Amino acid sequence: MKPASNSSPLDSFIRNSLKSADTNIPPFDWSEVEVLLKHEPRSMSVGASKKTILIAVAVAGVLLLTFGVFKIAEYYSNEAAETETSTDSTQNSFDLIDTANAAHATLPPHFPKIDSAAISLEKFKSDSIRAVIIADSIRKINIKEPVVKTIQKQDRKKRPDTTQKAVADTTSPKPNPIIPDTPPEPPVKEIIIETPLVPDTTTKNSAPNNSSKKRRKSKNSVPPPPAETKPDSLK
Amino acid sequence: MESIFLSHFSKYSKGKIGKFAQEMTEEELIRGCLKHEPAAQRELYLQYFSKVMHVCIRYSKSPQGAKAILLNAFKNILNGFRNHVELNAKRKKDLPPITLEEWINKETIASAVQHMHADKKEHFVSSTVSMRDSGKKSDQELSDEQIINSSDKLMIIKALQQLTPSYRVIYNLHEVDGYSHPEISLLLDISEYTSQDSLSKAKFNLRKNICGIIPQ
Repeated sequence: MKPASNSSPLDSFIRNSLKSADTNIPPFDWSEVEVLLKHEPRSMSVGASKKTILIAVAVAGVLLLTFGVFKIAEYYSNEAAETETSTDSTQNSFDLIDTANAAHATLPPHFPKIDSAAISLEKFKSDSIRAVIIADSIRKINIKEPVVKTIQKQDRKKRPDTTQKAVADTTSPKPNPIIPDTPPEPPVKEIIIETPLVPDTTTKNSAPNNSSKKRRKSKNSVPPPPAETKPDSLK
Repeated sequence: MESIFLSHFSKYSKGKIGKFAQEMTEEELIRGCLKHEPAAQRELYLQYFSKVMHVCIRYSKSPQGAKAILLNAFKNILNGFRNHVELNAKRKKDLPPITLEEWINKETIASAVQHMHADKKEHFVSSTVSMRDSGKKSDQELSDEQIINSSDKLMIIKALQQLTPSYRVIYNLHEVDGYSHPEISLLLDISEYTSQDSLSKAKFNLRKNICGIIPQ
């Protein structure tokens, strides 16, 4: 604190007159102050200063905040775990598909858990894939059937039902090692080329169909003869 | 005029001046107040009442306000006596220790500032007189010499009490108690520029108030 400087005579006069405490003011009753002191709790004279109290309060606040944040994080992590468990079944199915691919790549599959439902699902899928493959093979065989029949007719009685047996075998759940491995051939073209070489078979095959149609037509068109015999009967 | 002022304050007094004032030394007072001994506290109150009351009158608007500041100041002084001892303990050995009177004066000023902040009735209305008008002198205004010759302490106190609380506090802190503008800015939480500006306005308004009080 420094005394004010650069002041006019009026300022210094006012300052001096305000500083002087020449007038003696009689004190108030001590009881008023005593009452105030008794009502007011004594300030922190224990030794702990305000700074330490503030620091302690701040530390306590920070601890409370961290505890609260930790609790909230724990709650959310639990929620996330619950959602993960609910989506485990779908993830397992995807994992199984991946392991199947890995098996093709000759990698050892490792499953964390084996679910019977998942295994059944796998079986179902493998069965369905097999069924599709079999259906394809059957279709191919059906397409190839005429060619095979011509060969069979050449052999006549030596191998009569081999194709039928093959078809019967393909319908069985046992995997056919030859059919899935065969790449998709263009057999239709070959058949188209080969069909003119064996005209008799095609005509023979188509002939009964035509004759049956003709028969049906003749049956429909030709009136029954007993209608003419009726007058005789009347006679 | 002085008799009226003293009679106004004597309403609150019961005429009990300490009879142990000359018996206890400052050291004994400090020891007794640290132990919260009622006798020592009463002795301190009686010894320093007049000085504290003068400070309170300067910082307050009315005798009631001065009394409120005084009671609050003594409450803080008597309850926080350990702060005085701690301040002296922390003080460097080269510097002289803070005397009890200095510390009491500082605590009283702090109480006055606290009272100013707490008192919501007194609005912090800035002076209606702008600094542009400070250069103008009306015919009714008196010269500095006339003011010095015709005014006394009570007039000046009355003129000071007519100032707005912020101007009054800043004027007292800087002109009478010798606080610098940085110290005032820290104490009142204002900028140094605001402190300087308020001081110049307070000086102008005080002069104008004194001119209004002096009988012509």
